[in-house]
Amino acid sequence: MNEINMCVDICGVKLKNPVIAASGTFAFGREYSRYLDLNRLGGISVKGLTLYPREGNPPPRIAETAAGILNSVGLQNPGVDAFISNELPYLKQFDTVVIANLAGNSRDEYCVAADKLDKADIDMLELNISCPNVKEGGLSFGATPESAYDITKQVRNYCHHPLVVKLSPNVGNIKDVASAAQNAGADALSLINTLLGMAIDPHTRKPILGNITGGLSGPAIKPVALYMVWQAAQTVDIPIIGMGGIMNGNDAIEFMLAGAVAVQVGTANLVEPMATVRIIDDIERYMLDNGLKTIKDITGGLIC
Amino acid sequence: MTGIVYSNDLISPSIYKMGIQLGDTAESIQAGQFAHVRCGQSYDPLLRRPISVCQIDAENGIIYITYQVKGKGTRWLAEQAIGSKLDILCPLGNSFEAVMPADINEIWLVGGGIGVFPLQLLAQQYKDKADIVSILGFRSDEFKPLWQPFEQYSKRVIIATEDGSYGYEGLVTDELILALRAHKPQIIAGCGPSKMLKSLACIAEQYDVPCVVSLEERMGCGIGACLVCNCKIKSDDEWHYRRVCTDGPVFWSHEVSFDE
Repeated sequence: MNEINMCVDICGVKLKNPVIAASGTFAFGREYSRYLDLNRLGGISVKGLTLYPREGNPPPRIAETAAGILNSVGLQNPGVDAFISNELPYLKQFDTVVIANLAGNSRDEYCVAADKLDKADIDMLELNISCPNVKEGGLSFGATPESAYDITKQVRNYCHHPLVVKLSPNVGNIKDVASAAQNAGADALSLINTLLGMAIDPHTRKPILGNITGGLSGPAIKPVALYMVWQAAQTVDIPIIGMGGIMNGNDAIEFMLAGAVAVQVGTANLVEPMATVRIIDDIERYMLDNGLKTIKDITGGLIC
Repeated sequence: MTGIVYSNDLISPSIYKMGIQLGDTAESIQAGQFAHVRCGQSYDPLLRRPISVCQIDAENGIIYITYQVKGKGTRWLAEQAIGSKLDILCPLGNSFEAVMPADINEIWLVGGGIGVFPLQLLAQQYKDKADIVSILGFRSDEFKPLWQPFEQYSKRVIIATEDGSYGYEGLVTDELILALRAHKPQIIAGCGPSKMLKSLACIAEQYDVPCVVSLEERMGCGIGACLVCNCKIKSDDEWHYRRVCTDGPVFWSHEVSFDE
């Protein structure tokens, strides 16, 4: 009776549960290993990688808002080569799915980096076409269906791992961008990245973030994220990984009801290092309480 | 981990000192390290607040933090009664000890305003092995309770107030220069507003005295993962962003780029 199976399958990659640590909030896992057993996670989407190392944006890089945070880190990362040689071997020690999150400034940069990652022992590639904190590239690739189609198609040529395309909410119509990514060969979609925003100090009359603008995340954006996941799920046939302000098990369940097969947890990690594990336990309890045996019993189960 | 509020007292206008029972963890904390405190279970405020540990009562497993009520988080903290539970990550960050040479026997502590708290624990932990001179600056004599603890640990305490209501009228850095003209200590440890630290770094370089500073930056996770608290650190001809929460908060002053 209480045999429940939390496994989910995303394009042939088996996750032991539907909870993935979201890119940019979990670094490469090391810092969190002090607080939780990384083996417990369904997956880890690593810090956004670029072909070359990036220093990122000037501080301050974070501003707290009502039930949310704005960040403007700007993809500070050691570059794809350093990831493959220094970080990936560490992550591979754990029984969890490793998702390489890839960002870029240009089509060529995306492709060269994708090619390097293709030869590496990652489980999935998450194509980040939605970072709002870099001047060139990033968000601009994900801003229209045409540009999303083009970059997905290009990277697809170099990627033989399952390809997840991470979508931006800063678009006119999420359905069109979701369709475009699917048509270009994406195996799955993840959404939403952060919403563009800013914070101002009324006393100094200056923006709080060094980069002036940033990306909003946390509970404040959950309703927007749920809506977009729901819309995308009605549009595409490929699996969807939902995210945006998930702080507890109920939040995660809501995303799955809206159509997500798995979820990513981001901002919650900054508040509570053990958030991912608590959410896994919450989902398990929800399944037990509701007599559900598999995650499939939840995904897309919205009644309306 | 869970801490229990042991005391929570208003010690100066809008400044509270809170004792927190942390058990065995208390005695492992080094000066410069901080507690990352969740301020309630609601989503507003959402982030933890990084607060330096200013005093330790190892025997009773109690740490003390001192905070100024500025916003939602610190207001929530001020409302906590004795016996309340606090969700705390501690200790986080490197420490003065991790950066300073091992054979320190003379330290000058240079601090301004509410930035003096990490220095208070440094004074407590070095009082038996080093001669301590505390040179501290405040807006006015209203902040006397902030410098009083330094008196029991220091060979000498020099106070500067901006309004001249106590000690010397002027900036702490002016008093530092006067003192340096008479004697150069083995090392200076500083903490305070970034403008003050910038002057301190210049003065230390000018007088050729090694100087470590504890930095403050808006923080996210506090454990080194999110990269939001980074500051510019120079090495040779180049600079890199490094994490205040884990690579710091204590750095050599000559390495810090204060130009932001």
